[in-house]
Amino acid sequence: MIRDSLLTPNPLTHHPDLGAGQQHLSLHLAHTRMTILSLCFGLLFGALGLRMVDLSVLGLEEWELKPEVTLETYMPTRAPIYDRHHRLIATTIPAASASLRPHKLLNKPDVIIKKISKILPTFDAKDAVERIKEGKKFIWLSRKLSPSQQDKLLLLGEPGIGFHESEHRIYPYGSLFAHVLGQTNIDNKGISGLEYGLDEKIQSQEEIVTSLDLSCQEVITKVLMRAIKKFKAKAANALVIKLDTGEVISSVSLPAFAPGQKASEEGRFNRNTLGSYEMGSILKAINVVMALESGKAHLDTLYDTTKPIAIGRFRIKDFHPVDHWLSLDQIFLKSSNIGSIRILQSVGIEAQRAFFRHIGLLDRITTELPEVGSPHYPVKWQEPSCYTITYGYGISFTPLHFASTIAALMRGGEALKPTFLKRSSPQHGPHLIKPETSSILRNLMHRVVQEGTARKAKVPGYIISGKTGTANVLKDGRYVDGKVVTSFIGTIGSQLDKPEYLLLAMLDEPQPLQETFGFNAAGWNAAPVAGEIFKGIAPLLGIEPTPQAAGQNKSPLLKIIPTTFFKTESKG
Amino acid sequence: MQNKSLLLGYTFLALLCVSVFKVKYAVQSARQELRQEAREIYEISEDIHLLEGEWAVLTHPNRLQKLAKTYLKMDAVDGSRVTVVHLRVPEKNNLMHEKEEFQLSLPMIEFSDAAPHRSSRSGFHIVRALSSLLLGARS
Repeated sequence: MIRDSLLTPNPLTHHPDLGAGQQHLSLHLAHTRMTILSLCFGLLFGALGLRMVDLSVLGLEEWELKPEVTLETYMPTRAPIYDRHHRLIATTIPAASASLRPHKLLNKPDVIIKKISKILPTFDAKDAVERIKEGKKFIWLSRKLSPSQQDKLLLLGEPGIGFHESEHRIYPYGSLFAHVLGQTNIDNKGISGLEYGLDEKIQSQEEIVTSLDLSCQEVITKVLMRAIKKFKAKAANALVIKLDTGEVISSVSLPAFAPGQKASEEGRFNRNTLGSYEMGSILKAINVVMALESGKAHLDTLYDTTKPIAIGRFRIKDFHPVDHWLSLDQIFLKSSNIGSIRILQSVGIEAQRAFFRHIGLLDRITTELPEVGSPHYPVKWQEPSCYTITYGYGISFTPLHFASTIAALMRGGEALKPTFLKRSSPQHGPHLIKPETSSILRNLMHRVVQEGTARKAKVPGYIISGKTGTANVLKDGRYVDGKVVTSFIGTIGSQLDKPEYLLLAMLDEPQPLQETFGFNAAGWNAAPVAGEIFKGIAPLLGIEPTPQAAGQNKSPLLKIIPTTFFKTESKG
Repeated sequence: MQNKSLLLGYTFLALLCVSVFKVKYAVQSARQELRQEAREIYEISEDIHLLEGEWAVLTHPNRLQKLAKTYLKMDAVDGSRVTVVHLRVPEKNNLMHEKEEFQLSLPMIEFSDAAPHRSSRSGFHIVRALSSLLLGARS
């Protein structure tokens, strides 16, 4: 067949009008073309074939698949938040939401609503029935379903019940970090605390490691809760700052709130950063430092503290009047109001304002938290308001602001910016006061704990320096007798010249008790609370106890280690 | 000759078909496997994420303290149970520099008298203290 077809003149090439030579030529040309074309196709198919054989038989495993499927891991819309030891304190988890489309229900809406309200305890059945009557076509049943609730709703077999994938922010420690972390709204947007302050970073999946310590937070919360119960106080708050880095290790404000649940306004209020309080006698520390820095006073400079000071119709007196002059350090130790005013008179009002501005007490501080209050101070800096400022009245600060200023003064005078995020290296700043003045302040405050009003803050084995403050509560422009805010501010460390952490603890309206002999001053409530906090957090923060404390060890175990296994002496 | 060429061509074509068939199904199967793996990776990562949250709830300090108190008769450590041990390490010890003195804080956990196997637990803590001592020496 093939041969026949080849012998038969090709109608395309054979032309009756052409000569035999020309016909042969055109036939030859056609053959050549066919051969070239066949070769090309042959080569092409050969190459493809070889590649196929290569891929399928010889090298299938080496063939790199370009994946259509991308390998993804679960990534919630909001990044988790961790404490300083990388313990999870806020995270987002997938959870379903459920909705109801009444017009798609197979059964009567009343029957279904009853069944749903049995599955979802928080579901408002009456409201849902009303909405259905109003003709609503879409009703949210729950925005946060547990897996078992979802299963039970599915088993109802109702096409009118729909499920939607969503995410929910959860806080494993409940209200423990409520004020610092804040919370998110139903659309997972930060509305308060770090959730709001760092919203952009959290949404861009940036890992947030805070400066907070879970264990310290728990210890302090427990101590403050006990204190509120014991002293029948209205509220309490405390914060701990690491002195070398400025990190806020703990910030507790009570009453607190459980994120995601309804809370009172008082519960949502962050007393540490938003509340502004008169600090009472703690301000005397600033007064003393101001006098020393001015060069117009020394520790042994004497002041007349024998007579009360009259300002208009008011007379400023001391709780423990003395009939002799007091030196600067005695004024601080005895917490003399008269002496503090005398110190100011020797320095001058303008110098006082300049010093307050210099150490940053008159400027609002900024942190990662959006809830930050401003200091309140007299617009006209003049007598008598500047007199009362010396002992902590007529000027108020947020606890975080005041604590960070005292922290700067206690750590050698270097300015410090507090942060709620982890810092790995020490923070340095300009010197606000001379290191020598800072050292004097540390010594004075240590003496207050050893022999002054803050004796109850003492913890065996640790070097604690501090000062107490009691301020009457201001209501409707008048100071209320018997209602006070008491506070303690102080540092802890293993060496006096190297304090490691600063604590500010405050109680709002603690009541006098029989065991406090009817007193409600800070020395009777804030100081022991501070002592209890120091006792609890010192081992957690790894603060080394002083050698004196070694003798107080109850456990004999520790003696075994050096004597049994490491009793060796260096030849050098 | 032409028959041979045709036979060769057909064989080649058959081989080609088989190869294409094999490759196609290999690719399909690999893709299926990949999708499966990707789904598993996603689900596992989601599980890990949830478990991290669960772990945080289960290790709430308050809960741990209650459990330790109930079942192990343990109390919280206070400053009086912590001491600083000053040690002089022998010269021949390669782990430490000659004459180097170092400090080590050893938090110890208080046991009430009712604690069972007091001695064995104490021993355990000594071992732990020693191991941390060695690790400290290496660093």
